Amino acid sequence: MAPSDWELVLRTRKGDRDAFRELVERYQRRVASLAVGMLRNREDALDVVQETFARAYQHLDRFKGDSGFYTWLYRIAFNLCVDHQRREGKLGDLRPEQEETEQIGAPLAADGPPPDEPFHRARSTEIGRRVEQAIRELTPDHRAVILLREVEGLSYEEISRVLDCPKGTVMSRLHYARRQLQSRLRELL
Amino acid sequence: MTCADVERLVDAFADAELPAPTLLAVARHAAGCSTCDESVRGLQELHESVTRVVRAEVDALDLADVWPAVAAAADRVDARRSWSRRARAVPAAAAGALAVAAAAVFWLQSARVAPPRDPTPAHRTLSNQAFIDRLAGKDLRLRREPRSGTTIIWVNATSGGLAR
Amino acid sequence: MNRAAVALGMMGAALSIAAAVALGMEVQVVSVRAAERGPSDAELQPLRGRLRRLVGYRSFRVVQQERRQCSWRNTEEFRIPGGRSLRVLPKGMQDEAVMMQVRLLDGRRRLVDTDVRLRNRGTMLLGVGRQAGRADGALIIMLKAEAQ
Repeated sequence: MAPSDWELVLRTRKGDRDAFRELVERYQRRVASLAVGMLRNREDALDVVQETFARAYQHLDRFKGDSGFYTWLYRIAFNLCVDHQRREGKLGDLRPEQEETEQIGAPLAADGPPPDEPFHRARSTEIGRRVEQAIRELTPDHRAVILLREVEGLSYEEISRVLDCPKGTVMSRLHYARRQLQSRLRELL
Repeated sequence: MTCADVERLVDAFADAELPAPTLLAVARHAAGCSTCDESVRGLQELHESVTRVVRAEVDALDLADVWPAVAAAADRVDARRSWSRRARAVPAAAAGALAVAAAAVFWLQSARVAPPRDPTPAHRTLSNQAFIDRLAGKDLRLRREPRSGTTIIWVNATSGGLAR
Repeated sequence: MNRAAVALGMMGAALSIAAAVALGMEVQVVSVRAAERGPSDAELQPLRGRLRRLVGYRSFRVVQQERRQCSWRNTEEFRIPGGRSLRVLPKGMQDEAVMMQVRLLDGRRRLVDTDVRLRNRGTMLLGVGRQAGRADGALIIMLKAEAQ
């Protein structure tokens, strides 16, 4: 019988690195699912997945077992996604003051590769593309409840712990997000 | 159970978050009301669409690098913890001697005349902070990463360059 | 005898000071090939997120690296892939920052010519975009300076 999450946490705390590896392999896909739904591209999502487990390892002593381990992981991942979205687009351009300076300040993206469109390679149907566009148009809070409920199957109680908001707020955001998606999909299809 | 009740409860019904008697009441109503039944089906279709799209994207992810990166991060965490434990393990006598020495240094320092205090608060220095005092070149772009202060000077290879 | 001893002592001190001054700084130059896709070298994994935010590419592989002692006011030239070179002239220290002139050359063309004050033990980057007709991505040059 596979060890429980709590057993693996206890073993990790005692220095069993393999126990933590098992936790990573058990939940990396679920964390990736939340990250890829929240963020603009796949590489950012992978960065968040790695950082989520790195932080979980570092702060494992804070996990008390009073909620599911995956709930705690989702909370870390969600906060990292929010931090990432806040940081995006905040790289400032600098203008050195010497007269020899030429053409300083244009954004780098013009020379770099195109951004990885969300779900780019995964969309196999036009409907899929419309759905992902509609999801992307939701605010991060509404996107999060949709992903945690529809894809991850978390209960309202679990979602409220991940997002650190009352259960009533989860329900109203879910109601709103669903109606928004349905309305948007009707327009797009 | 009316249509207005079902409209209010349909999300929780679809999510199985209702107490059993209410769940049953909504199900019975929907079975006999095409409009409410349509609402329930609509949520089910939405669930299937969203799940399909996100899962397809996750399937395309290569998660093979996750564990190596996490293991490397865990190594760094363990190394920092090990250093902290060693630092705390200084014997009491040595700690006492250090305390006396530190007190002596403090006393000597305080006996000196303190330099005038700079009224401007010290700026937090970033690990890779760089000040560009002069910059020449064609088609150059400058960017800085706020967290570490890392600066990159980017040149377009095909059109950039000044005569030597 | 005393005078000789004093003179020897002073000469020794002068030599030590000269040695310390001559140490200058250590410069490390790492050339990294950046691409849109593909694996990244393990040693660059911790920097991948930061590099990606700065340059947009997602795959980073070390193609060349060199570490060298550089004396103050002496130019050192580092070879960079693609027939390029990086010339570093350490000028001195100011407020915990290393002052240096840095020039990136492509054959005879001067791509970048800059005077920079880089925090001691800090790293700055120079990037060269993809060249038309070449599929091997862009080049990032990581320059780290540490005063001795």
